Amino acid sequence: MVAAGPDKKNFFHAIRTAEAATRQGVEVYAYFIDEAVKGLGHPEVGTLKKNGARIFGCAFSLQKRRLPLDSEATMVGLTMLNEIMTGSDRFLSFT
Amino acid sequence: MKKEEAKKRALFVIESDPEQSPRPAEAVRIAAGLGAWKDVRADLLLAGNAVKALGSYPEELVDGHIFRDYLPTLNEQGGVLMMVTGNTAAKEAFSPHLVIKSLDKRRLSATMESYDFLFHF
Repeated sequence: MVAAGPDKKNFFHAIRTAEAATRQGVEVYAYFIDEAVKGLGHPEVGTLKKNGARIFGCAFSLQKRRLPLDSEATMVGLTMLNEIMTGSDRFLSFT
Repeated sequence: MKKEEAKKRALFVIESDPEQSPRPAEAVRIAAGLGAWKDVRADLLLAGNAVKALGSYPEELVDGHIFRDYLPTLNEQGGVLMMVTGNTAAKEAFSPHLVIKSLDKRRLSATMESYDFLFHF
């Protein structure tokens, strides 16, 4: 889960951690929420998706910030976050 | 069919000031949303100025309606609302609708380590 905005180091820590995991063949699910949704259009998020990570964006967070739906991410709610948290072998949060 | 007891526990540690930042309200929203599915029990630890969110007039805070609407929900879901003993940052009496647990700061580290998931807002 990434909640830190793209103006924060933690946003890129999340991206780099996800990148490293995909290189090792790990199935990565990246859930962007709160300020992090502002970074959904960042080229590095697009690269992450191309390299196999599943990218999700919190629809509420986007609507609250009057941001358009982003083609790089699947728009979801907190149900998906619950699924990711309970279904993953390892869960990290970058807030 | 009745759901089993929540199997995993998440702790949201909130330190941002709800008078200045939307992050405390967002943390509460996420916690309540997760708790609704009963797979994860979401607890809150409000530290420093974040305890203002427990006050009786949350509408005066950033996205204050979220505290009014979802903090009682967290209690109803079985979630624990915690503050550190001796925190005096709250400007008003706590809401009578909330059940709040006071946590000795000497137990902070052990408490946080006991959770499956940790979020910091």
